[in-house]
Amino acid sequence: MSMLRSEGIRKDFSKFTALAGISLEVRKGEIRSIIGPNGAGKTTFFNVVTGKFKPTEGKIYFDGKDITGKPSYEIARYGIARTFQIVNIFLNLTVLENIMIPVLNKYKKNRDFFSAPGIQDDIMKDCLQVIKGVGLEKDAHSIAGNLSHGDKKKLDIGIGLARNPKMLLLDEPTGGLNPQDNRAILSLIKTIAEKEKLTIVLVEHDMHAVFSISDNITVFHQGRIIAEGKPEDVRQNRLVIEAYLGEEF
Amino acid sequence: MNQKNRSVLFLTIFVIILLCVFPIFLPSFALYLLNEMLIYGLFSYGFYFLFSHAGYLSFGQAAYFALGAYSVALMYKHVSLAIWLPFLTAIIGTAIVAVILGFLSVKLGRLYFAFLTMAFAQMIYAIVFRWRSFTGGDDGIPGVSRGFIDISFMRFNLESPQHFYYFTLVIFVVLLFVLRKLVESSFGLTLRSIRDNAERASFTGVNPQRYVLIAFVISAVYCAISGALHASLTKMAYPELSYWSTSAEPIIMTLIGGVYTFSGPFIGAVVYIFLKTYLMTIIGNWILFLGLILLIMVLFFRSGVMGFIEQKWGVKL
Amino acid sequence: MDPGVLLIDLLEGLCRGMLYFLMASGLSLTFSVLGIINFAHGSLIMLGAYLVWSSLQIIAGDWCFILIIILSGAMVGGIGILIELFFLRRIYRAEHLYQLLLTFALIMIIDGLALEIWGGQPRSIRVPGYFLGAVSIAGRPFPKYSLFILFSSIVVAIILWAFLYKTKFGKASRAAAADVEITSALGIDVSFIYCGMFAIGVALAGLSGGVGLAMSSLAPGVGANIAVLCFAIIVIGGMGSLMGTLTAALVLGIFEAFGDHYFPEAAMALPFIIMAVILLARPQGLLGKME
Repeated sequence: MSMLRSEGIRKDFSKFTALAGISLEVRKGEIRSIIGPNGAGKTTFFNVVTGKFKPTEGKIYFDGKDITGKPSYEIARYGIARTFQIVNIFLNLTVLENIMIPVLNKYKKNRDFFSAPGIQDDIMKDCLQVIKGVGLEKDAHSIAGNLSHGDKKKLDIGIGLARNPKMLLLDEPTGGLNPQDNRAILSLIKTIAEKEKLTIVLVEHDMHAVFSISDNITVFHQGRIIAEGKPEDVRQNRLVIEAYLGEEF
Repeated sequence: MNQKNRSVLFLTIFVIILLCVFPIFLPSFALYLLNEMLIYGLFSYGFYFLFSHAGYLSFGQAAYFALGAYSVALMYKHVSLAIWLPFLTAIIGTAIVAVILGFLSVKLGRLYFAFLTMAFAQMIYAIVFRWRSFTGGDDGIPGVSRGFIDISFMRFNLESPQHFYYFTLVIFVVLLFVLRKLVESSFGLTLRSIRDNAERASFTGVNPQRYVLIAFVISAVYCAISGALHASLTKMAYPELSYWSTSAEPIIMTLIGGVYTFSGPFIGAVVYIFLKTYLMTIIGNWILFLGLILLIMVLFFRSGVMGFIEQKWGVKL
Repeated sequence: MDPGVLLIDLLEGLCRGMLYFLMASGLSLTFSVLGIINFAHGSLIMLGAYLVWSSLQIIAGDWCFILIIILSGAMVGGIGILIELFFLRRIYRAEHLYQLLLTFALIMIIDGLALEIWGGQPRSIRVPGYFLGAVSIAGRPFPKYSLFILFSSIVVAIILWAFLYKTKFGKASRAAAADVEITSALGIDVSFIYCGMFAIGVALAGLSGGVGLAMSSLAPGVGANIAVLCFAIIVIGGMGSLMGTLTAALVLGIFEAFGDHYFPEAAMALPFIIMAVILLARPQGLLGKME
């Protein structure tokens, strides 16, 4: 069944068109990678799906619901989570506090005016589970800003996972990582996908990663989809090769 | 609880005991000063909650200080001298205004918020100034009562400095306790996450504007209560209470004390009231002096007195 | 309705609106390019007016009136350079909020200095001889000085437009306003642009103070209400849009002129009312962009 469906999404900024009609569909439980040269509109597409931008035209459906143009916090509550190309975490809060914000939201307890979760609470247990899941147990009380880049990326993913989303959008999760952290993140994504049966949409430049974990690949170029299909097919597609002229994969 | 935290707790209890005991031996002028410190401390805590936890800088909290002051002044004059109704009016009336003005002010983000709050405070100043028939215009309302409290069969007349001091102290301690709870709660954490990264917070399902609005109303109520107490202490209510220079005071007090420390606003109020009392007569141009202090704090001493001490001792105050 | 009266009101509105534009333009520019709200903007307008007043005490003579206004504006601009170099620069890397606190401190410092230098009593100037009196428009008297305000503001607006769109510095400033990282990556000295643009914004403020002085009296503290008016104009006109500032200023000026005529009591609240309506109906302002 369809988890995410976009119909003719167009996004114009005052001087240029970032998205010129994106229609795609991601099935439940699928791992879909979106690839394409820089400036192709991949992150803009994520921004439209998650409510940061309103599309100029077109519609977006998530799990059957029309979420076009809804604000980010509402879309998050429907079960879409995302991570960011440039690490976007709560730098001045501890790792535990970073994870707690989405977990509190899951339990609708952000507005508890006079209480905070105790050690025995479900909330705390969920937080610790997520922290373990991304491998940051020993840093649970460290200030997020002091973590290494790789650990910050893990935290970014952790925040996305913490609300038990139905779909996770990962924007260049391996960006700027050394090979060791790179492998760690990839195996993390694979594990999560299998265990939680999450639908995952991934924007990536690391082609090795893309071809090793994706069920399907969509190729963006200049705001349009120029190819879509199984990894083996996309790899041999002439249009895709031309778009990437000069890049290795 | 480790050794250092225990010392902080004992220190806090000691200070509270001191505050309870002072009226017995302090001369009346000193008691008045201490009373002012508690009141301005509350005013600063109102500002502090919004600034240090929600991350929103308001240049117009004086509006709520003034609304609180005028609410009790007018209620005492026209309705009743028992404190409950005037204070309740101050709280609820201010909360309603804060919801409306706050809603308008947070729409465009932190930068616009700063000057919208100033604009609205000047607007309230102008309204109070011109509405002579109701508010007394620039003459204000003289002879504001301190009211009385009826508890079962006893009536406490708050005109006596000692009675009014204890009244202020009780309100101060209770409100401070409530604020502490708010800060340590899930709500406080959510606010801090919005201060840190409002975008990410919204991607976790939190509606930043709604939370900031709630924090704004809480802040306004604290400012209103302090304004009500101020009107009773000084026995005056006048339009300048809503002027931007009044808004500057809790800002400076909080910066002096320490924006990132819980005890900062009170310590800052103590220091500021001292400075104001003893320096204002010597320094002719108080507004210039204040401006220079603020400038120096902003450039060189951003974490204030308590921030400095915190660094040296490694504790959270 | 008598078309002559309407015309007069409209003209009055345009004169006011252009003066408001002159006042608010500097604030809009510094906001667009540097991302700073200069809280002391109103105080700098006041400073320009004081400098003109003092100059006129020293140099009696109508012949140099316009020159004095221009020089006072330039002097205030010079003060702007000092402010940017010695204070603002230190605070760019800190949180935005501290920049706001800094310009707020400047209000107090400038107002305090004004009190020291010029004292607390209200000052005013009389309009120079050749601007005294009125011309007849549609059979009704219209003050000559108001026409002077209108024309001088239009001239300044045109010069500003030419500067922003035709000169290298102006184009670089607009680039910096759009994206400062790319602009500096292109090798443009952004700190020079920041300093220059701030000075120009402040000079405009000083200039508007000098131009508007003859219309009202002056005392330390008038800056606050002028600043609030400018804030309202920026909100109504829209984020970072100079055209928006112009539109908002003219709209406000015209509404006020008609309001003063027909509903004088409410006219005072007009900026706030329009601002509230904009915030509710179209928060990004008349000509502002959404994202």
